[in-house]
Amino acid sequence: MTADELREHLDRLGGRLDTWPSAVAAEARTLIERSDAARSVYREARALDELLQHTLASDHQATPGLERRILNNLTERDPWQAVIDWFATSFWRPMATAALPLALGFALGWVFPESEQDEFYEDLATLTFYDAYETYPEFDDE
Amino acid sequence: MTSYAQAFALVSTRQANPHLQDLTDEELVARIRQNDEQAFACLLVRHLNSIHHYLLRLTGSRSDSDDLAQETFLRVWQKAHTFTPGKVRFSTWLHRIAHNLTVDQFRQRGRNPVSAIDANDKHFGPDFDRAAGELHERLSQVLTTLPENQRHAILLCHQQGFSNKEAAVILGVGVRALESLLARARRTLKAELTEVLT
Repeated sequence: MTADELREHLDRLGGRLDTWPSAVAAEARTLIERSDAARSVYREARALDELLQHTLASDHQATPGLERRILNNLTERDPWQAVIDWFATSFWRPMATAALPLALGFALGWVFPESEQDEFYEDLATLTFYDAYETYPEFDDE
Repeated sequence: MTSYAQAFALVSTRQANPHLQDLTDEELVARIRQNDEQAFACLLVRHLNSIHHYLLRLTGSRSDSDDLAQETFLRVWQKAHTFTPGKVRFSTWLHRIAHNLTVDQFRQRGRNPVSAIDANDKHFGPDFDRAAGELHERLSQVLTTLPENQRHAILLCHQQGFSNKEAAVILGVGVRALESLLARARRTLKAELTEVLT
């Protein structure tokens, strides 16, 4: 690892070597021990980290009364929204739900195969609703 | 800041359950799914200051951060059933909601330049060091000049204390992309503050 590579790692991963992947951190520590340029790069990164830490850390307090405002605005949950969210939170749920009737149809077809009685009802339905009699030669007066 | 007892009193006349304060965030969310308002009050007291601070840094406006914090916690109440324990920490999920709401607001209103947080918003103690204060103000100012996504990345990792992996989840990007954002932001900050850092 060179000083420039160390700088690149410091920019990407920050100045805390204990949060780095262990192999890269070990290489970086070796370089920092041996090279003045690497030590300088490392010190600069640590200084920026500490400056950010001190500037951004604070005992910040939210606006007084905000908790009350939020708690007063709690509303009843819409039960339908929960159902919609259940579907929306993953890809497989709507897919599985759409496939369910198909699977149910196959299962029913497997359990209850076609019988002679089904054919009887099929013929009955055809005769009952068939109204294009002119296409049948036996109904043709000519 | 409202205490746990005060927050419990706001939401329920039932006696507050003292054990709620000992529960983890994930356990409290499980109770919120059962419409437990005291569990919600407990989470609110625990996380409001942190999320408000984050939103204040993002927007630069106290009233906007109030509104966004309110909307964030109301979403937690409404969407508690969509949180999957074990997948991410609750605070990661909470920040992701806050981040998405902020981005939506920026889109709707257009991106206004963010102003640095007023010194009044930082509670400097009596031993406040003027030079350090000026340095912090300078860094705050430089932070506001960063592109939005770079500023978000820096705030999540350095202010909110998230790991790179968690910050990537919050921003909805890959870890490598997050590290690129951080690298560009750190280079800019070093260039702007070179005389302080060397």
